[in-house]
This record gives sequence, structure tokens and C-alpha cells, in this order.
Amino acid sequence: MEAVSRVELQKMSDEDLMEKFQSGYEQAFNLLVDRYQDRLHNFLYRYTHNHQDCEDLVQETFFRVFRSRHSYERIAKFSTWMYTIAINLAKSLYKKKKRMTKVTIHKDPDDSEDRPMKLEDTDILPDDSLHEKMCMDELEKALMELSEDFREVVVLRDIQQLSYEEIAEIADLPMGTVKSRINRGRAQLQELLESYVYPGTISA
Amino acid sequence: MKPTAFDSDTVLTEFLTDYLDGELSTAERESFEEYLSKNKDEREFMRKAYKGKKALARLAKHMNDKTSVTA
Repeated sequence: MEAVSRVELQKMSDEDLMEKFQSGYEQAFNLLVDRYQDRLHNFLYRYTHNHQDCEDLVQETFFRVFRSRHSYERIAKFSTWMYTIAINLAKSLYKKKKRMTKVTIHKDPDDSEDRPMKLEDTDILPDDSLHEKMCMDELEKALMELSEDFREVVVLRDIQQLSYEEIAEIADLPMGTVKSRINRGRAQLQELLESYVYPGTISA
Repeated sequence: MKPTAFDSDTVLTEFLTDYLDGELSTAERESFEEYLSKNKDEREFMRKAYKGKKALARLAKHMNDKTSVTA
């Protein structure tokens, strides 16, 4: 096996790194993890809205990439292949959670962590940041209210900035459907945002 | 959401997608805008899709900024 330095590996495309990994360079896999773990977490968070689930899903995705490395072929971009794995895992988790019985744990009034907010709390944000955070919270809320079909393609396009071809491959949909869903998803999101500002205006 | 011609016409959907991505030629853009000016429901749908796209771009930027700060 020809030795390759870390610097050389860092200059490689994802697909070249995968080939190196397939030929036995585990360092190439580590670089792929470095490149994608944050992006994958952000992507999965739009999908699950739960950081712990995201952590687990990111770990499981990379584990599957590791285990299935020899099934990867250069026909597909590495990112497309990996996002496909991630989205399938997220869908399975979603289905599993839907089957589970919900249990609510009420707050313990004696919980020492459950204290009133102090005015000098350093977590209080200045006005602009607070406004920005509120806008982002509303955006995230609206995104989570979209149906899964629309949310998936909108996140892949507008958050992950994937091409329509990649999205069609990941979602396993014809290109026309992908584009139509993206447009409808965006329009519905805007309707939801407007309904937060002017309640009662949303159309059926 | 009101049904529009975009739901059933794939060519119009292509036009709308390219319009929002800024991928239409000047002639195509003008002709599409003329179509929108005559069709209220489609114009309203385009407005919402455009605004929604912009909102999502803000969210993506916010997320990227957060990632680069915490990286």
C-alpha cells in the first residue's frame, strides 16, 4: 500500500477519500467524518428536532459508512450516498418513535435545578440577537410543521444546498416531483410564517 | 393552500423553479412575469415560494454561522 500523507489526504475529494478508505486507509474515513459530522448533525436536526437523536443518528450513519464502505461505488457522489443512509435511518427512527407509547415526566417541584430566572442571567440576549433568535425559532417551528415529504426536499435543497439531481436520488423521486415539492414546501412555510404574524389568515 | 396551475403543469413548475433560482434568460423571465401578471393565484404562490426560499436561506446562514462559531 502506497503511503499517503495527511496533507495529501486533506486535498482529496470525498470520492477519492472513499477509495483510499476502501483500500485500507482508515485516516481517510476520519477525514470524511471531520468534513461531514457538523453538516450531517444540522441536516438531521431539521429532520428530528432532537439533539440526542441527532448524535445517535450521526454516529450510526458513520458506523454504516464504515461497515458498508465496499458497497460504495463512484457512480454516486459520496455525500449523496451518505445522506441517503442518514435519511433512511432518520425515517426508521421516526417510525419507531411513532409506535412507542408516550410517557410524560412532570417536573419535580423539589428539583433544585428548577429555579426562577435571575435578571442578571448571562443567557439573556441583547435585543437584536433576541429578535434574530425569535425569528429563527419561528422558522424552525414552521419547518417542523411541514409534512415530512415537503420538509425532506426543502431541507436538502435550501439548508444543505444539494442539487436537484442529488435530491431526486436521495428521496428516490422523479425530478419533476422534487421541484414541485420544493416549491410547495417553500410556499407552505411562508404561509405558516405569515399565520404566526396574522393568526387566522392561513388558507386550507 | 389554494391549488394552482403549478400543481398539474410540469413546464410551469420548471419555469417557476428556474425563476426562483435566477436561471431564466431575460426573454424567458419577461414572458413568465407576464404570465404571472395575468394569473393571480399563481402570482401569489410564486410570492410565497420566493419568500419561503429567502427565509430558508436565512436559516441556513444562521446555522452555518453557529457552526463556524462553535467549530
